[in-house]
Amino acid sequence: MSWTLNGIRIFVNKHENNSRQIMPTLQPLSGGTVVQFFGYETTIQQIAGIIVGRVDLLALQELTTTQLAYELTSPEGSLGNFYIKAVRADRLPSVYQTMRLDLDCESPVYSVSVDLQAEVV
Amino acid sequence: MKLYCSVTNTTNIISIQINSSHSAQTTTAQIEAINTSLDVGDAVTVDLGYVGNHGVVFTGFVKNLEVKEPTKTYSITCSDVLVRAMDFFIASSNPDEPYTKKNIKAENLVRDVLALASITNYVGDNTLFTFGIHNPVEVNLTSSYDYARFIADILAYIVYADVSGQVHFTRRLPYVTGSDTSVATYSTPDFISINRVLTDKDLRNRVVVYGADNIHAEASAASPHLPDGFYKTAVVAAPTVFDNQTMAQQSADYNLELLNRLTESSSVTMIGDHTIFPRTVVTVTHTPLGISGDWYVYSVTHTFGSGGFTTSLELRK
Repeated sequence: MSWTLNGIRIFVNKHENNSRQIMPTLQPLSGGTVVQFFGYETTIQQIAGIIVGRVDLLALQELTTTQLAYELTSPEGSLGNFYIKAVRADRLPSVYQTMRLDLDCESPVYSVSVDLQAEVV
Repeated sequence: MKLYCSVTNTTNIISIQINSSHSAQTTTAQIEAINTSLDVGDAVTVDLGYVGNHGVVFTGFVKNLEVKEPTKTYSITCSDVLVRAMDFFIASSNPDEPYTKKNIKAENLVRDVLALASITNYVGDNTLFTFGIHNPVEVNLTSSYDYARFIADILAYIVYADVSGQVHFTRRLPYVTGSDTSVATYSTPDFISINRVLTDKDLRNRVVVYGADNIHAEASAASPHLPDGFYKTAVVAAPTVFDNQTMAQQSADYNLELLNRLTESSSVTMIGDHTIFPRTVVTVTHTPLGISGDWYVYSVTHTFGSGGFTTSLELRK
């Protein structure tokens, strides 16, 4: 199984997974820091990789306009549903691509970075 | 210390601020949240503190509801029960037949004026003041709250609603008196910031009262904080209620006792404490600024959000 985001094929070469607890810290005039717990942020993930073809790139960028969550799958299986927060794409210089044999060999190749926020159920 | 908060019919709370003061018209609550089914006029209770140690800090009604895009959040503004008295404007249908009372104790006049605004959960101290002895007291073209506050001001009393929603009319001076008992103790490890201020801005050592029909009274005293023979004067103008010389003189004496002093205050920000309310007395110690002993809690602001839960106090000596 390969990496997909809502069925869009991405050749992932980097996957960051961050979580954060909201912990206000208050410093009294004397004595130790007082730590309070307000809650936590849902998991923030960032994937970086390659997308082949303009159709897939546009489909990925379209996901940032829908306010819906989409499934991210990895070779190990589903990682859950995420809101697509940001998509950054750079076109790579390419003469001939062989990553996607179902697409034309002269299809454009893009380096993409996608920011994901986990859906709260 | 895991933070806890609960607001009526509201979830995913982002922040809360509660403001309450000795002199403010009402206690107010400002709530930011993601989900709510509250509507304007609904009753609201705010309970906050820590998991396992929290309590009600506000009861009142929704006065303003704002929904914002693109954040899709609600901004809810609430005030305590006295907002009903502020909203109720007394206007007689016949201007020749205004609302009148004769030979009525001050505390009962306040009770009756608040009752016009459907506020009946009320307790009033025995003031020993009686109005409308010779001429009836007329109450017209004013809000219930403004008139109750007027009566309170001329007698150096206060009118306020406590956290349960009961309205009090009482002679509570804004400083520590001999009969006060401290309800809590705080010292340097509790404070995030603290200051101390002395000012004569509100000092008045002469009070003049104007009543009806040539009734007038005066009280004055030399102040060690002002030059010899110098008097800062406050005027109490109440021709519609003071038709008795003894009452006018008593008002002058009460207001002189209230006003003839320096204002010594301290502003403190500390770790959030939901148990503290204004109009109580606490014991405070902070040696570097020479702060010690009992202090009157003049105002309380609770701030609750992702920046933490803090309580800011204005204390007066």
